[in-house]
Amino acid sequence: MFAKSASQGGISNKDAETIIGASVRVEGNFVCEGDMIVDGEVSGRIETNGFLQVGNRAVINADVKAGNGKISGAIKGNVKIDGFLELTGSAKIEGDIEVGTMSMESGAVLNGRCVMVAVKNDGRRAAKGIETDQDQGAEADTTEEAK
Amino acid sequence: MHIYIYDSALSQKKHFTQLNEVEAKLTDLGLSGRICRLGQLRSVSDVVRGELRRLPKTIVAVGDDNLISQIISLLGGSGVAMGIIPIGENNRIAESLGITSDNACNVLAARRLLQIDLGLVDSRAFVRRVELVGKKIKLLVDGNYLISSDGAKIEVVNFLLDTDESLTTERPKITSGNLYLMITREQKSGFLKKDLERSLIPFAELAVETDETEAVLDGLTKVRHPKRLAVLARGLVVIVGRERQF
Repeated sequence: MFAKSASQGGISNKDAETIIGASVRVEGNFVCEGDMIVDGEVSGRIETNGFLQVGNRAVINADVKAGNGKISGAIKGNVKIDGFLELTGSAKIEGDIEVGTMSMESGAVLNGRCVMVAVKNDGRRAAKGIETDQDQGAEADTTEEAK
Repeated sequence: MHIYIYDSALSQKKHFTQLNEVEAKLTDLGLSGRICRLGQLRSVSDVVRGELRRLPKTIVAVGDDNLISQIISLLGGSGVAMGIIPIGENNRIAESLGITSDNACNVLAARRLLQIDLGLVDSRAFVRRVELVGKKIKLLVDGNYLISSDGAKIEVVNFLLDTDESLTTERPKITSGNLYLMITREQKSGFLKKDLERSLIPFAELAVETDETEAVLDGLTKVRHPKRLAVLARGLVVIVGRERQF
């Protein structure tokens, strides 16, 4: 379901397990299991292993962690997404982003650092970088020295 | 042994024919048992508590949603199976469980058991939904976060029927192991046109942080100043029909 959601650029209300409407205010550790849609106000922390969709009316003052995401609203806090993140033209983020893959529409505002990471099988996150021949050679030398 | 609890309204003449038919059919199916008729001097809680001491196999509610809700809340957590014979006009709970006045005796005979969740408001059980009434209600969900919403209708839902208001999300189910906080607010979306903005949050436990609040359980019973709402997962064993909605 997540792959389908990501490729289609979002989730419908029907797929979401948790929906926070525009008139609702949440304070604290907002931790859920499934897909989540946020159109209201959240302060504290948001965490889900599913898909997080932040609507354009949403105001979030929180660190955010999710499996995949689509952001159209305002977030003041750090964002960690394991998989795919889509920032639409109305997105405003003040904070650092750590993400697997990302698309950013013209008009989106990002004031912060952006690091592309890969989540390894053991759950560790490592920054994706450009591997050069020199890097590979250095790695080989270190292995030989170790022998 | 089956214990049949008859609603006080069944003493009205208009129900005699239907009751006679039901009783004859139960006898044919070998399901006859003790009949307890409710009245002004016999409350449902006294009768159910008294019968539970005799360790019955099944307690059958014979009546409408009002009686069914009351008996469900009294049987929650007891482990005794509940049967339903719907008689009267308001029978939406029975219908959602696949029981109609026509098939009720056969459903009872087939004894298809389903463990369903109940909701608890402090120590009182409810089946379908609770409305929280008050100003500036603040709720602490699962001990993790506070939820507030001004001017919206706040409800806690165990399950919704197909005939209930249309939901854009998947309908909360009676066997999910969760309750759902449902916050609804009307929004003007044009001239004489209103949209419903609805929030839906699954939870296991909820604390009411506001003092002046009232809870209306299943539209029937009021609880003043409720403190805690929680799910009693698989808290009731109920006999259901094949055409049930979950």
